[in-house]
Amino acid sequence: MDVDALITELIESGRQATEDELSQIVAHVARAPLASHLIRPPGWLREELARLGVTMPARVPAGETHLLKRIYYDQQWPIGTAIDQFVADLRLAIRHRDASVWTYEYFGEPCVGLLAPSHIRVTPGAKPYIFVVYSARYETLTTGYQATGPETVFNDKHQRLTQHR
Amino acid sequence: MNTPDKLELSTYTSHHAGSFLRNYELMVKSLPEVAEWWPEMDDFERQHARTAYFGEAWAPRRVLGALYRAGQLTAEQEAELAALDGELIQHLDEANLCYGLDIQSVAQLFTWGTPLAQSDEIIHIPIRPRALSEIAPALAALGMRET
Repeated sequence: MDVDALITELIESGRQATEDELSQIVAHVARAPLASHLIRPPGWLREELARLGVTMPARVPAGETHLLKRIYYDQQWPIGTAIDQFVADLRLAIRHRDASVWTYEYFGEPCVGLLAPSHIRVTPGAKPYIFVVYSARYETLTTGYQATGPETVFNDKHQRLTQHR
Repeated sequence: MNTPDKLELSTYTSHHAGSFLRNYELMVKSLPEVAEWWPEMDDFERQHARTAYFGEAWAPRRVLGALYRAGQLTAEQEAELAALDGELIQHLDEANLCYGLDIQSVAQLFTWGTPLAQSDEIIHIPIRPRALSEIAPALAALGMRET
């Protein structure tokens, strides 16, 4: 079974992953690229960033939208962070030995969420953890941001939520 | 670590509340435009909106309610929360289209805690009659009379 099928099976069955399965999932998610599909950032966000001197095009790869928001709107990553560094930071969080790992459906899409202690501490918007989401449908990292804990990450749209570690 | 079931409010600073409000503001302010684009968005872009705008705001909104009830928001933050809650309610139909929010979600805001609960001003909640018929039994059970 491939890892994305395993993730879907874990969500549908609600069972706990074995240690070996968990290792496979973490290794798989840590290799995944950041989503590059083009999206339209809302005008309100583009205007907020424009006030800070940052131009956000009308259509941007999703991962770049996240990075620009993390740097300038959330102030969670340092100014000048390149996309490769951002992805490297997310992968460090994914591979963190103390990372908590969940599987769930989010609006029907199979996902893995990982929450690890943050190593980005020098920014005004720094929070204790980094949360990273992997989509088993798109086989990409769909978001990554700093969070205070699972209570500010999960809402009632996260269904069939199972914590594996 | 706080869990979804239990909040330790002393772990949140005013700066945290400010960042929660900022993401809630993005979700609410972008809602009309996201809803306008919704019919032509593909599955990925819809999921992106649900992740980036709704997902980063809705769980923190619950924490904001608890902070408000505990008196841990500044007067300015309370005013901002009230304004955003009011704006979200006005755009409930769009919020339903994009994020599945409904009249029960409005009730959730008041359960979590909102400064709007102190207001005597009239607010207009756009709601489709079909949704009203779904919640009618619950309202009736609370003592409302049928006419």
